[in-house]
Amino acid sequence: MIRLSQVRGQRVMARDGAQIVGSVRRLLVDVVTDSVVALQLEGTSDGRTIVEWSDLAAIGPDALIVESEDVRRGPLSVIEQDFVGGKLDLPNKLVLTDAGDAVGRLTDLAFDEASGHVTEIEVPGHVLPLSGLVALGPYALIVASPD
Amino acid sequence: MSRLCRAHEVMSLTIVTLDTATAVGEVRDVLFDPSRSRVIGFTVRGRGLLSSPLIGLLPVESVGAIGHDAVMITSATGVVSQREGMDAAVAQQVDVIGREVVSDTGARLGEIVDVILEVDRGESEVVGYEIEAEAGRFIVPLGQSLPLSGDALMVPADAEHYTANGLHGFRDALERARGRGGTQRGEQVLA
Amino acid sequence: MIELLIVGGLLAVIGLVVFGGAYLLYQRRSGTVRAVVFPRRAGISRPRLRPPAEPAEGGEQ
Repeated sequence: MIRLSQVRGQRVMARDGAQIVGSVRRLLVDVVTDSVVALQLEGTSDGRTIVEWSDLAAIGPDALIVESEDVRRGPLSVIEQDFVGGKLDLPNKLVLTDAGDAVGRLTDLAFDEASGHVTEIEVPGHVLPLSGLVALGPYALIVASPD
Repeated sequence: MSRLCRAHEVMSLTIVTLDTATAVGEVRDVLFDPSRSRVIGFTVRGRGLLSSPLIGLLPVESVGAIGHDAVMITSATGVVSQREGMDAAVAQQVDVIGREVVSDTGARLGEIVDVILEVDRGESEVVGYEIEAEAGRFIVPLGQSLPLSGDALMVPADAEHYTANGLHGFRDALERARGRGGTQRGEQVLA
Repeated sequence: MIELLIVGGLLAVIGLVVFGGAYLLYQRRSGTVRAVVFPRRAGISRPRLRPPAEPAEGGEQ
């Protein structure tokens, strides 16, 4: 289990050349699979800032490892454009249930390192076990209400 | 699964789409059909003091849920422009907030300051009127005939005045009123 | 002395315009609860008033 707060700011290094390719700026969560699916790098000079979570070879305490810097790519979909544009940023995102009740503003997120599957959402004073993500957008992260 | 709330708690709620998690506006007016006491939709205004006072109409069929902090709609296409919507077909409308309240024995009781709604997911029913009188506020439950016109709301002199602070006990008052009036759901006569 | 009065007066006018404007904008946006009646022919969200048709034979709707 790993948290968003642990991953943000971490160095990403390439195994083939041992160089730092960048650091983690933000994570992208997919509401269909309820999983972290990608990260965005900062510190790169070209527009290829997205690294898919499945392209991570290892997640260590001091660095995330990719095979080579060639795994980086640019945004391909509208969601990825919004992602790199900062519209889907998770920290401080309003967490709203699909019943229209606010849970709080997101402070952290826990997910499985290997699969990326999100298990918990943290808001001030509250840890929410995930019952399902409905949508992620500029206004809120909509979660299924525990029914 | 249903809950009681005041119409003013729903008014000014942010309207959020369930597909793209985007805020499309805020609730402005609550519209209801007096013959069935059911909310039929909402008018939508923009977000922010300088935004449009009227963006369009949100029919109740497009509402997924009405919560404490937001009204959830299936998608942004649920908000229709005034022209496509109901306005052209309307025969009569009465703005209820501020309407004078008169007893059937001819005494002025006060004016309507709020409406009590019973909300179940996206659907809501008008179940009471909150009246501001000289002595204070009270709620009159629907379930008995309460004729409403552009001039006034008429309330039977023997109607129960629910005066407690919260709405928790109001459900019992509602059941009693329905029992007396003999109707399951309050039928509002719009004169 | 006169400068103070002029500045005070200007501030008062500006205050009036700003707060008056904000109040008007607020009023323009404020909502109500409205009872709405449709004429019978409109057919929007009104229950059918005719008695139900004779049940069809053999499941044909």
